[in-house]
Amino acid sequence: MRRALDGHRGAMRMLVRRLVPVIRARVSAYLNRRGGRLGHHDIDDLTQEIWLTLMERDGHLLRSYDAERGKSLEGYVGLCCRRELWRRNRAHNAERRGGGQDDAPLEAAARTAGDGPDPESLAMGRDLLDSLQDHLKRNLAERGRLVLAAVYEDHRSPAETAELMGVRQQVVYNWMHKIRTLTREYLGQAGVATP
Amino acid sequence: MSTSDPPHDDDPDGDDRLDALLRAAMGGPPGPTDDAAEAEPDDDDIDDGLIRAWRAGALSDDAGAALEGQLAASPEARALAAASIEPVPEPLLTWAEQQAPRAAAPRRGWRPLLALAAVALLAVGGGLLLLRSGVEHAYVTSPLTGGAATVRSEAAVGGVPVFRPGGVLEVTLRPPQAGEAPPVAAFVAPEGGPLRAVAAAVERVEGGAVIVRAPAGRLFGSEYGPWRFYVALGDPGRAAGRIFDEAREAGDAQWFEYPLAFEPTPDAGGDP
Repeated sequence: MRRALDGHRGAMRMLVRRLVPVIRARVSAYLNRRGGRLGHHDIDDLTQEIWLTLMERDGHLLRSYDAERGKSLEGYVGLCCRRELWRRNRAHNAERRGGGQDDAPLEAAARTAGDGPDPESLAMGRDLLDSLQDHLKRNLAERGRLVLAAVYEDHRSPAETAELMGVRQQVVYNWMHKIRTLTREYLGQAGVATP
Repeated sequence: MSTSDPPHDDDPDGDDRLDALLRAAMGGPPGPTDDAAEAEPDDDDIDDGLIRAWRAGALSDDAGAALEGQLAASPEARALAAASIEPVPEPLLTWAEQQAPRAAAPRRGWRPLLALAAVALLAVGGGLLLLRSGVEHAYVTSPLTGGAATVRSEAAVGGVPVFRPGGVLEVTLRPPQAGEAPPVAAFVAPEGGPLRAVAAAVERVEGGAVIVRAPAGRLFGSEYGPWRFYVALGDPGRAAGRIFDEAREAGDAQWFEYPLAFEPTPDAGGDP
């Protein structure tokens, strides 16, 4: 990293290919949860701006990286990036409030309107659904809990979940089968007719 | 049911109803983050480097399980893991390379580079990197593939092909006009590491084209993770042991670079 910051072209090329994907992923994840833009900036605009921030003052932020503190370089840059996004978002919100704009995004209203519970779960009752969730989390390994969250909480398809995890789809299907089996057992013990 | 079909219960409709029930139990996807409640990120934020290593299968079982637990508990961390798969536009990388730490000149964005990049991509016929012409006629390359009858590059992770130990790397390099093919040398390098000379099968085709093949397992052994495969046409000089950018400056060759990921063969079936 120091060679790159000191002007070595090849080292800079490697540093860019190691860190810019981290920054872009951070920006993308951040914006995806906030409607896709921050002010007038999209993913690549913000990625550029954060890279320039890292290059400021002779790469001061990057030179401050200390591997002894336990984070990888990517993790350190990811955290710098997250803080910068948080700072920019706060400033943007303050500006919007100053301008008298409505803070409630349209997407939130649409999501709220379309997210009604389905009739079967209403009949079952929230307490039972909550205790089912607890039961599954207690009885699944970490990987199973990740499939549970990705498929049933985030509503990702098995293919998307497999790509996220870097595994074959069959692994995801197997965990879904296990989750359903646990659910049937639990509902049976609770005296609820299972689908 | 074929062996690739998912196991499911006797009643597919029952599965669908159970899935609906499970989605209700899990509360559905998180809505947009409440900006007012967003706390300043602290040092406990997920480590991006661990996500990358986890997906490449480079974490120990314990570390992998710990990260999976962290991902299961945090929608934001899962969103980050998903975003890490997205390919990065090559012009954005090129632009970033040009931003030296002390540069004081006005900086322009990368988008003006798009037109130039599009021309370059067309020139290499598949989106791969043509790096320097040290030979009389510039060759163009096919995309990196896994070979027709072998384990092909099975997926794209971060925009690069993924190879497993049974796969075979294959590229075809064609001259713009018929002629005699120059000497061919192949190298691999881990991300940011020195070049290693490797043995590759070179098939010379009439007209000067060459087909280069190398088994992934022999190239990378059990060193899983991101790699780069290089083919040099001409005299690469003493490239082995050097960082790529140094090697290409030193020799007199046309270099082709192919980023890829090398991953272990997953167990058949899966975890449960």
